[in-house]
Amino acid sequence: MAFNSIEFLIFLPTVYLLYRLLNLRLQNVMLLAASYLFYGWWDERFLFLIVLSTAIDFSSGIMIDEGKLTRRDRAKASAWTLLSAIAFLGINWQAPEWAAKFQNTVGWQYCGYVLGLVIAGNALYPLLAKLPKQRRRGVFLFISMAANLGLLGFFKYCNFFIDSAESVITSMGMHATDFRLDIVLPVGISFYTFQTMSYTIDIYRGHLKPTHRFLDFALFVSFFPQLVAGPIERATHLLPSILHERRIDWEQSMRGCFLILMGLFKKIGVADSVAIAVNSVYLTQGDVTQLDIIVATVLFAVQIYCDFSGYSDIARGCSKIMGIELMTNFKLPYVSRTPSEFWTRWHISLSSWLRDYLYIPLGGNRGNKFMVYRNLSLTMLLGGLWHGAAWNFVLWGAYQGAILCIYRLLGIGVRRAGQEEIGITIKQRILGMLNMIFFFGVTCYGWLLFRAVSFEQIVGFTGQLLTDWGSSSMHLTMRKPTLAGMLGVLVLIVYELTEYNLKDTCFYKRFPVPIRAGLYALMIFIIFMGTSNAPVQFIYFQF
Amino acid sequence: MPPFNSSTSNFDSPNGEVKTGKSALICAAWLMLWILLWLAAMDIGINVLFPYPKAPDAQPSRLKQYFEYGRSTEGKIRYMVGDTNDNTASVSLAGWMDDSKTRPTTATKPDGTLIAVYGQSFTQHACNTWAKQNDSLTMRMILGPGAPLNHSYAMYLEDRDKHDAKVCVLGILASSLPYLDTIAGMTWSFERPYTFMFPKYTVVDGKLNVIDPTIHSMQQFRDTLNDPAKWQQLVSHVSEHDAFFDATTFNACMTDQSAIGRMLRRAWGQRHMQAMQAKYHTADGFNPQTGITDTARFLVVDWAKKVREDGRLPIVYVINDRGFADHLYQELGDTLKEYNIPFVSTHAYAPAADLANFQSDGHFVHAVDEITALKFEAIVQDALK
Repeated sequence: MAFNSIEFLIFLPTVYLLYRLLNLRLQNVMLLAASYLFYGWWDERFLFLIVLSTAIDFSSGIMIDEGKLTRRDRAKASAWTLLSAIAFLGINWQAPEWAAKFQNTVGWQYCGYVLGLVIAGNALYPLLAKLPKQRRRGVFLFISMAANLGLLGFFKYCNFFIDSAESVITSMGMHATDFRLDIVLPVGISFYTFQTMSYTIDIYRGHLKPTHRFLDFALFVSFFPQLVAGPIERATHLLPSILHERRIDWEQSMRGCFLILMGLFKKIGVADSVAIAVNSVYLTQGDVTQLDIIVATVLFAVQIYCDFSGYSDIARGCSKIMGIELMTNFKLPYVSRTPSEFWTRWHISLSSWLRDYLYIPLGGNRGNKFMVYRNLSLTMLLGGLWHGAAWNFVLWGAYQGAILCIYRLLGIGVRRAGQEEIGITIKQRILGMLNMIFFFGVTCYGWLLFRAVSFEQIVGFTGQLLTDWGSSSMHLTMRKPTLAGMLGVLVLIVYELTEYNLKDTCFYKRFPVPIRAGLYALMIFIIFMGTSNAPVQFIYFQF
Repeated sequence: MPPFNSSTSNFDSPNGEVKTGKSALICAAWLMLWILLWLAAMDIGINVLFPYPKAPDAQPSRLKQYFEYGRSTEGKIRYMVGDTNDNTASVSLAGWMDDSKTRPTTATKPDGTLIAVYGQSFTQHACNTWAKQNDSLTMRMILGPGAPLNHSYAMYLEDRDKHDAKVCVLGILASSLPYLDTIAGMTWSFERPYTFMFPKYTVVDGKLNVIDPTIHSMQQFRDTLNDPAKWQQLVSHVSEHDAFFDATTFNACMTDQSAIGRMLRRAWGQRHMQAMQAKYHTADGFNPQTGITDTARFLVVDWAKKVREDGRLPIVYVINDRGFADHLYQELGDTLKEYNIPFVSTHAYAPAADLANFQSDGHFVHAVDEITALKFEAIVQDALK
């Protein structure tokens, strides 16, 4: 189910009403059921992966910290795994007739494998529980990592690596296509696997105590607002909100509703409205001009920002109205002047995850300069690969690593999001703005790598940008964004510049009610205008 | 990637505004009231600032058009169709089976050739270009806006005895192929409805089944539109036999008076059309389960057979327009070759994925029409040998 669908328009108020009527325990059960329904709307089979990941991390977390699982805990994890296998793999919900729903030979075969896995896990448990503490902690951390990265690797990267190794496979006298697997990428797998991995790592590091409440932990893994495209929450933050009584006040509700409105405005009013122009350049097989490439890439910068931050806003808004706070994922990223500032403003939940669980363990800023550059490059390269199983994402990651290193090497800028600019002169301000514009250009080239559909397109577009400076290249052949898109971009720029200058994310609350209502009405109006665009799937769903 | 500045929180800080119970409800109601007032003001403002011109054939600005796209089909038709042809939009007069137009019945130049053309604007552009390249040609064009194959086929049956053309061109547009399942232009051209109607054909047990549109001319349509009982009958007939009919977008109602209502209907209309298109066509090609591909092949073969029976040369123009790759060619190519029907398919020289081949309104650029015209000429020259 997508946030910009008619189904969600019915789903959210229903969930909210039920939520307000129930007590904490039932609220969590209802939210879990709602989250599974939300996810299963795409493909119920992949719910099994979520339950499997939940069961493994639930058990691993307890084993890392406490060294033993009670029978009850083991029974819960085993039963949920088996029941989910039956419900999501065994039964074919797509079959038109009831009898046919149960005649799913391949599905029941998988259920058999799952039963074997559960029996093996329970049989091995006494042996593993007897391991010395340090060894046991390491083994269960490894099990958790292997399971999550294994799922991610199999479903997301298997075909990518097979295709990438095509020349090697061909040299061995075989065809790469023979090894390709007919796999569908489960929506949001990169997000929930990273979230659950942080749970076991934090327990291993002693930052967190494991929970024995399986259903609550399952809700942490699958909480519907952020399940498929983040923010990637930390258990240290989200789990307490799930386990304990929540309060909902006026302020939270109003802010939550505003975030939902802002998210829909960004997605429907802006992102979908400029998508048509971007696609007309990046999806064409014909010639485009240099100006087409520049305008389409700048519009893509707008599109991906509005698409992704719009999703995050809606996710935060939906959680907030239920009294659950999710982290801010974006903070005006295009006002950044340096790559390090950009990464404190863009997809913050991922960049901070990579920092805490990859960059710092690699050595972080410690060691000599070479080590720091290596750590930065490797982190960004893997960050790029996290986005998708394609070489352009790897290239984008490498590019981000390279510009981080170059800016660091040149000693440019250590400013971060939220850092105050007190006592700066007009000259410094102008210089800062020029830096901002220059870095926006640098960011946009990164988006060209990200959006390109092939390596040939990257080479072709880059060549055109560098060499094609004739007057003939200075006209537009691309399709124009819709009226909603142009109006939406204008409103968004004014809104974000005001937020930036006032340094207040809730600056609109300073306005009297009639003015504030005018802003909301304008956003609603632009959403209405945008509804006539072809709905576009959220870009980050593919990751 | 250094850690965040500790002063930078990644969560909204609580604000001092604390309201509970009744006061919160009053605040929410007050805010909602203001939002509704603003929306109403915007709605009225748009209706005042961008009124639609009174004359049905006037060209309103793009902004005016933008806010009118979502008016119901019936609302637009009542506006476009006047009491006489003089005060009726020209697009509404186009495509009728009985349009009382005078067309050449023989070549105007001595030793010239009359070409009878059936199709839509794509075909018209290509054949006009052909006539410019070869001034011995006279074109007899029987067209409809975005006309689907069933319209063109029916038009040939109506027209076959009325001229002495030596060559007949049948233009088939990929994006119009799904409209084989329709009987009226007004069900699939929501934003600017075409009023013309045509028969619907289906192949049942190898035979052609025909559903008559019941209305064949603008005058009949006008009379029906002005008679509520007849209009209801027509709507009922269309809803029964036209797969693209949608009551929400078709029937006029109060929301026609509101700019926001029109925008929301437009959104609904777009989604309805997308859903219908998705039923008939996907990224892999046309869906054979819908039956339109079988019908299309049957009609093409039957058309060519009839044209040959009339002693004429058939040419099929396979138009693979934007968004349809070479899917129409994939459906018809083998059949055309099997029955040795001369054809020109645009996929070979104007790929649909190349934007450079298209004007902003979706038609081919002139250079493509010139190639098409040369290919038509080559087919005719080849046949004369």
